[in-house]
Amino acid sequence: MAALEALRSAARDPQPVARAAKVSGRKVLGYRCVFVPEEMMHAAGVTAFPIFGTPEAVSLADSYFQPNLCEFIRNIFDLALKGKLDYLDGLVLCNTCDAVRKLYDHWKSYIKTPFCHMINNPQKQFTEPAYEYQYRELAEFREALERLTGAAVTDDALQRSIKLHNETKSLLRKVYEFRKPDLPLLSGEEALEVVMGTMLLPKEEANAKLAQLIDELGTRGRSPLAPGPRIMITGSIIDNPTLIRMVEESGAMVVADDLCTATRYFWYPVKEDKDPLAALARHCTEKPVCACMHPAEARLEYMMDLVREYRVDGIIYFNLMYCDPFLYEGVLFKKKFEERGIPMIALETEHTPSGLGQLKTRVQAFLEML
Amino acid sequence: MITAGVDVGSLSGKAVVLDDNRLVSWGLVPTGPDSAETAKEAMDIALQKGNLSLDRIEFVVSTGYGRVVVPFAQRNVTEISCHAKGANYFFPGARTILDMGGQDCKAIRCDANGKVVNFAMNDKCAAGAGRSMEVMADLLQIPLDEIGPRSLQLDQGEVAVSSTCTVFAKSEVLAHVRQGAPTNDILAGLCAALASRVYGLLRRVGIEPEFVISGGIGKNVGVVTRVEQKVGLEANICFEPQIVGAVGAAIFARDTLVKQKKPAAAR
Repeated sequence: MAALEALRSAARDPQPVARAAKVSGRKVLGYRCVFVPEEMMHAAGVTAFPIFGTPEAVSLADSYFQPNLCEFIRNIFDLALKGKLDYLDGLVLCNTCDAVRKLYDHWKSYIKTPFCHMINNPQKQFTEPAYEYQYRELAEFREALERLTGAAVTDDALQRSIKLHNETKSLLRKVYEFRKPDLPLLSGEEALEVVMGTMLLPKEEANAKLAQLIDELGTRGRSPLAPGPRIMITGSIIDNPTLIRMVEESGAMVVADDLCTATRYFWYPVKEDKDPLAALARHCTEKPVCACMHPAEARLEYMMDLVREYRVDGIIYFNLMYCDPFLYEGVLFKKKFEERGIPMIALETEHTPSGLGQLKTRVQAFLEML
Repeated sequence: MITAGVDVGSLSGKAVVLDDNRLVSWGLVPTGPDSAETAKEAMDIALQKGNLSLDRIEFVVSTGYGRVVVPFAQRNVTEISCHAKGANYFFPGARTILDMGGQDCKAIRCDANGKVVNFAMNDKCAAGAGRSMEVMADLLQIPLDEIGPRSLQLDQGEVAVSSTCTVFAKSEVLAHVRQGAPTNDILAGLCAALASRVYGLLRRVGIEPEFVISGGIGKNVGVVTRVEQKVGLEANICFEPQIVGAVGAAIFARDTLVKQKKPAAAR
């Protein structure tokens, strides 16, 4: 399982990947989140580097952010203050939650990377005004990248990048097929690291690894999991497998995940259209993968698709403490899923998982209930 | 068929011995630093009272936060499932259970067989659970068992204790003391704050009769009365609400044993 190990180890330590990109002479732009089009950065010849947190406790950022603000964002800002993201030449964020928006302001004031760009995503999706607005925002982003590199981002290059990234998404879907059998051939913990590793690696390299992984899984034969209820994990960002491992150790098979570091990243391909900018704008305004977006119904339908496709018995909704969008959504969706016969439990977590005992009791009780 | 259930909670350890469906005996001890030792102490008391020895017990299920360290248990089940099962044992009509324990509060909905269909628990903080009552009893120098009755004998009127955090609530209570508020009125405020907190939890799972309260705070008449008023239902409370989880564990032990004893063909 060499490809599996390679992807997992990339996920565990992003630093070597970033340093390698740096050595290649390309500019490295850190970005958050799945609404920032990687394709555009790839076409501009810069490295799109997803920023994840670490399990390390926050210290320096406490002087800027109150403890009742998003711990994930505090964690990222803390890493930046400590100089641990110093390989970044710039930052690209988009308009999802307040925490991400405010990270931008603080980053610009205190971290001072040479390049900072904010993409404004209209949050009311599936409308023409949203699409038109998004189109102009992406055109502006393209110009900003052109100023950064001094070279044009051509439609041709953009089309090639979209194709490459669509290939990544399609390969990840194929990898996820191995979660569908009665006894999945890929565990939830492995799946999370495979997607995170894919997000981090240059896509040319990731695609080769994913193709190899598909071969490996095809001959795996034995499930890494013991039989148990089929669980889907959703909620705020999870960038560390600890929680998923805990769920699987409690006797569940995690067979699906609606997470920024999982399905949200690859579920929707970009249309391969003759106007690539238009295709990207459509893509951004028509993927209902975040609790920040409107309307909630679209997101619910997408999640029900996952429930059906992966034959989910129950949903565990992990709310990062103080993550407002998901805290609001969790309460609403619990009712909606239960009306559809899918039990759901919402659990509050911290970004740096500690004191898992109480959480484990709740997870175990939920599994006993199914 | 003799089985046992052991519930190692954050504040007390409970053990129950069951002979088929008959409750033989139980033991109740405060939880010490060593959970395995606490489990053993509670079990020894139960065995002694039932005139039994451990080798007579055919199957033991453990529960509670210390459930994984009980050395003589063959299986562990969470306290959520056990409280539902135990409540069903005492009150077969039970559909909504409120367990108020040492550091957790749970609102549980179950079916006619005592199987959990939904539940909600407090978050990490123990405010509103047994531990916060102990902190306040200590602060006001009142024996724990007097809090309930005295909270119902108002002097001038209930004072407001708004906080949902034990540490802050303690400062609030101190402020009331300094301003000369009568102790009973402060106790009333505390019980009311706890009742309103658990009511929110109950509403999350929905309330359906019959209503059962288990756990140590089930002995606090001040909290129970206020919860009943909010819920609009009378609470069923068994003679010893602290052993409900252990009883549930003993029933799980019995059920496991029955399943094991059934010949494979009959399964």
